[in-house]
Amino acid sequence: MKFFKEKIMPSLVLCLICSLVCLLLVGAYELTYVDNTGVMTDELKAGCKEVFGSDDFEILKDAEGNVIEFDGVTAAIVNKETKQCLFEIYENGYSKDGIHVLVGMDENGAVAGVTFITCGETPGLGTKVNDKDYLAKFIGANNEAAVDSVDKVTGASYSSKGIKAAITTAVNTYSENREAIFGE
Amino acid sequence: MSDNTHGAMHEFVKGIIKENPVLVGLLGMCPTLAITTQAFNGIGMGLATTFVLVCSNIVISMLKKVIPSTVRLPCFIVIIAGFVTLIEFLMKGYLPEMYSELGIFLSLITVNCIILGRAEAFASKNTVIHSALDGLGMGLGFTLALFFMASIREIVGSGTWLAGTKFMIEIPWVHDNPTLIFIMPAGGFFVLGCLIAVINKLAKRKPPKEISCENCPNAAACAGKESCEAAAAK
Amino acid sequence: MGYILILVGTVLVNNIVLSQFMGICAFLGVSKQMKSSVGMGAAVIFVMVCAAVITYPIYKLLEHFEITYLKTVAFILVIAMFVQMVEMIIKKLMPPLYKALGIYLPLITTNCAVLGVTITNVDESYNIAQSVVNAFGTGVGFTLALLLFSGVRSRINDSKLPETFKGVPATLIAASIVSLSFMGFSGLI
Repeated sequence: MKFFKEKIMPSLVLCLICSLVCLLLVGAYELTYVDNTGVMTDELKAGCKEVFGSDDFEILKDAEGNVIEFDGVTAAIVNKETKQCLFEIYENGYSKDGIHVLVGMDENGAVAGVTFITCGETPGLGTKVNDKDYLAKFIGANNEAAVDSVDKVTGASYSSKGIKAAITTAVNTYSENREAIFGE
Repeated sequence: MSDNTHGAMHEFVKGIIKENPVLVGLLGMCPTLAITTQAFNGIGMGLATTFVLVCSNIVISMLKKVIPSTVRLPCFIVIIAGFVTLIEFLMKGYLPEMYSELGIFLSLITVNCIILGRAEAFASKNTVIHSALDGLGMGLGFTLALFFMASIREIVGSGTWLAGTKFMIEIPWVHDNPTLIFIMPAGGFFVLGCLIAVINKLAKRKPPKEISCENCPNAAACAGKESCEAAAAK
Repeated sequence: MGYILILVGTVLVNNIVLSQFMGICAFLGVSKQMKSSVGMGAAVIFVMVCAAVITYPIYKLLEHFEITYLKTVAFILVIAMFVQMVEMIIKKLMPPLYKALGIYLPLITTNCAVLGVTITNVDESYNIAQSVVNAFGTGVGFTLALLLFSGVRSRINDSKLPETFKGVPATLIAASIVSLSFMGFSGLI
């Protein structure tokens, strides 16, 4: 009896508490999780509107309805008629995946606009890259060199590096996958 | 009855100023230094910690008779970690921007010494209501300290206040000439040092209160005081 | 090359204490003397590397069942158990080692730096070798900060300070200056 009380009981209680906590968490996860893959959320629509002035875009999917991913690009959002598209990109800035942007490309493969969906960088420092005037400097860039020639923001070197990497990814993805994106 | 209400009131109020966990107790330094670059983040982190603190205090004081003392530490940790994960879900859903700014420090609420310390020192010995009030008071004290420190750093370091909310205020001259060092890591240590010095002055506390294992409640929970003192003395 | 980058990054550029703000309690509590700093540093390096090794398969398991959101619970439980177990084992089997390291081990059970490293490994999706290098570098960075700072602190004790700044405030402001000097490394990678 003493053995049971001293050795078995504690382990049993601990196991019980662990499994209870985990069960409750699984339940809470099922309740709160929303699968947004392949859905045009309000944030994405607002981003499209900001870059092109319309939200008449669709997420590029294959025949089975799965979102087509390119290297470094989470989703491509396309308007096949106007030949415009936007790339949703996560890039590391100072913090992991701190830069979550939409990069819009016009019909000639040049950057038409960049807009942040969320910016998880250090407030006051890294968040300086989330500035309309700064992001406007990238408009018209259509190759890596052009993106690279834009200056970094003082005091936000990691975040500037991140946003430039994101735009470079967008430019390269466009030039390499143009046919696939517009189904030509 | 009135005595009981008085006691409950005391548990609630003590954490806010008199035993403020950060400025007086010198606990929970890591989040205090790390995420106080913006007042709004300070509030978010403080309230998230308060939520975990209150919930874990309630659950632990309810289970205090069930949990054998040999495994109480792992039990406490699991319960706390569970609530931390829950607040992660909530914040990811409702405040995604803040979720990514707080980043890893949201998960690290699990090992915040305030929470484990209160579980060990208070909740495992007191009634549910008192434990809940104690958690609420300590949590609000923590939130207040974070908010205060974050306000100083944000105003001097980036010239705004409450950025990220609709109450954002731009401080006219400072906004164009911010003292960036205040929102960099070095500024965190500096502001906290000065704040504690001010509190020392106001409270006329005998200064040499050191950060060491003596006032770390975790020490009592994890190892027993002897090894702590041995470590400090060595 | 990648490994060297991780090592330099964690030791100097993103020093865990001075720019990531993890493990502050242990940093301020144990840096009073050079000797205890070395012991604490060694214990932290040991625990971090072991934690990185044992959490790796656990995360793979969680990934397999698609329940990675339980990682905080799983990691902290495993780390706490592991540290307590190691402490008991070396107390029984290797008394000299216990004398040198043992007393520091319990202090780092709930140190946020240890949990922080394991979560960083997962966030950066490092493989097992990279995880170990990252943990080792982080531990070395912690030790380096502790050693440097214990030197600074012995000077503070000898100097005349205003009454209100004695103790913690002076320590924190000194830490701020040490942290400022580490900012100089930020251009390295």
